[in-house]
Amino acid sequence: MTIGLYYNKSDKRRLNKELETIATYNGYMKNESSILEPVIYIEGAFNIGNNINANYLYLPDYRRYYYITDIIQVRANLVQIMATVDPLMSFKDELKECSGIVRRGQNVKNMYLDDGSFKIYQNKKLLTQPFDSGFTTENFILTMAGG
Amino acid sequence: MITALELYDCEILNGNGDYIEDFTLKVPVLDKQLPHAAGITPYNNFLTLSAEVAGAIGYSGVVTEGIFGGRNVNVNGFWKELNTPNITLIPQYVKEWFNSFWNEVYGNIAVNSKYLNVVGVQLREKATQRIISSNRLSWTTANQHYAVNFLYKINGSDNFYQYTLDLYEPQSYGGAAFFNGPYDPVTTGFVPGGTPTKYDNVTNPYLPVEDSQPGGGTGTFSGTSTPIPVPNLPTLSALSTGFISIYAPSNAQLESLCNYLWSNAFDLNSFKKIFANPIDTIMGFSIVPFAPEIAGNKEVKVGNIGTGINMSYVTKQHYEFDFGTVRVPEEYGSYLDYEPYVNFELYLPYIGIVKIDVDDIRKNYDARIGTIQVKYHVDILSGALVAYVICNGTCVYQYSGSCLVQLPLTGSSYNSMYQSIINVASTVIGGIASGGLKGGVGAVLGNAGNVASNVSNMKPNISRSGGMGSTCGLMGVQTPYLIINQPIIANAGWQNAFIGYPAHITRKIGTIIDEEGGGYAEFEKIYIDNVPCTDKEKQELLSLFAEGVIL
Repeated sequence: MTIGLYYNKSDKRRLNKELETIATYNGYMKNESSILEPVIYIEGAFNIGNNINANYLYLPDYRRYYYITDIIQVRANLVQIMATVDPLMSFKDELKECSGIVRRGQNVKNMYLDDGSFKIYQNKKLLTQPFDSGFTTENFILTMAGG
Repeated sequence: MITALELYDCEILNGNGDYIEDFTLKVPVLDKQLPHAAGITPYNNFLTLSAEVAGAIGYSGVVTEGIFGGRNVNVNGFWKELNTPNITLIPQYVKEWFNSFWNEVYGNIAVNSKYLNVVGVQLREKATQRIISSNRLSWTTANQHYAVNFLYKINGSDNFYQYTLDLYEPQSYGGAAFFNGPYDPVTTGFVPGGTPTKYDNVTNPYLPVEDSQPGGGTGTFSGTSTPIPVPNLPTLSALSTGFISIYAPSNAQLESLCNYLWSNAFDLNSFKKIFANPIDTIMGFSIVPFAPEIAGNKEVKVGNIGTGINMSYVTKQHYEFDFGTVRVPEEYGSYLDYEPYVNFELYLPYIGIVKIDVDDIRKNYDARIGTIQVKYHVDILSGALVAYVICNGTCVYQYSGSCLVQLPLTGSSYNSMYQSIINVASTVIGGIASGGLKGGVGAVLGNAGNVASNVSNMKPNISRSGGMGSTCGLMGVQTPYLIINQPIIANAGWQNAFIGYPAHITRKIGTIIDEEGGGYAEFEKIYIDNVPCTDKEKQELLSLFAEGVIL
């Protein structure tokens, strides 16, 4: 099977990873291998030193992207790669069609919902703001009986 | 939501009562013995059982095993597992589930076996296939009423429920009676049965209280508001009656009047025919904090005796003052701009400091508003005033006070003024209570005694409950002002990218990415049913979206 090796520069939580292509190899699996946590063998030309940045791979046969969890040099011409699936990247196109209720978001937000996300200092800021005018003068008033 | 439907028994019923089971008799046994003494191993909290239903037609040989073992029928067995039906805890949906169950039974029976004239049901433990209950009909009889009875629990509750699913009455075809034969579940569908009934009240302490029902969401959502305007000034005036006159004298005019009253020119004998004491004709002598409207000058008369002294006289009793508008837009554009994080207090001359609700002024749905306007209506005769606090164009608050500073002319009027000052002082220092009141009043008395010939110079006291009336008010700030206690936000750098801001908004993920800039997002709930992944991947995706992803 074809194995595409990549250097993944992105956070594990990122849906669409930023990948740098390293190399493509042919490999195989042994009889029992999980689609979610495959163990892949590559014989021949694979050199760990040349692929030292490889932390991500793609298996076209499975249509899935994987995080490389370990690379083991089994013997001189045999390398074992252990990987675990990245469902975000693998199904990113299908996931874009999914809808959900965003609890918290960077750009999708409603700042008027008090979920305790903002921290405030213990002290408050005291502001005063006078109105445009007030009472400005004083006058004696004499009230007399009669006209 | 239902996480599990626990099916405890299912029986075939017919109109003759041949197989009618009384679940009432079974409940105590099932409840206490079935899961335990009967040896059923709890699987996922005893949530999962399997039911087998078999249909049979005509003769095709003796069946040696299963529900129809020993019968000369043609059997098509069907199993339906009862794992976590995706239905809510509403009897109607339970009913629908059972209906779909039976429809599925028909749908899974081979085409050549749709002519059902024998029906059996069997309930088995999933793990071991051990039979919990099993029964069947004999050959169906035309025009008899048949039904399947289910006994179940929901979500492990203590109560048993019974649901009866009606079958069609078998019709006679070629000498045999068939269920709606030939039955076509696609075109005919299945007639829903009765309403699930609660079967027992084994442990629910709230029975017979009715189950809660859905409701709400039927408000008008109109949200209309009609602004309350400040009223017009009163139209009736004491000054138009002729009983009293109000003058706005200068210092020199007051001095002339005083000299006149104490002079020999004043004919006391003539005056006594009208008043006992000349000073009685002076109804009030005071200071107001504004210039009244002057109509002109006229001679002051004491008891209808001309004094020869001209003074400016006032013809308007009620006055309106508009102190303007303060705009208080949001500081942060978030919930931090509202109570209880922000507090507004308003200082009103001659009233004191009052608390006003920020939420009455700031409105997050309209950034254009957020104004406070203060207007006063003053009665120059009594000094009474009403302060109107107008929030966003509607009069929301009204406070009363007095802006007239009475000045003493005689010993008795001095005592009256003096007492009113003490009352104000008592109000102001009310928080001191009885222990501190004596000292407080003593201090006030001393101050008041020193300034009896003039306006009291009592030190202004500001109380959040008022206490800035008349004399104190004259020495207080004469312009209203707003006091804002604003929180200071501690905003971590790139907080929005790390943990985001509150949202609670439904969005398609593609929309967030393509139209709203993507970024960090946590999801309360998300449907990913159309993603072609394994269940384990689906669980991981749900977990990732709940914890936060970067889109």
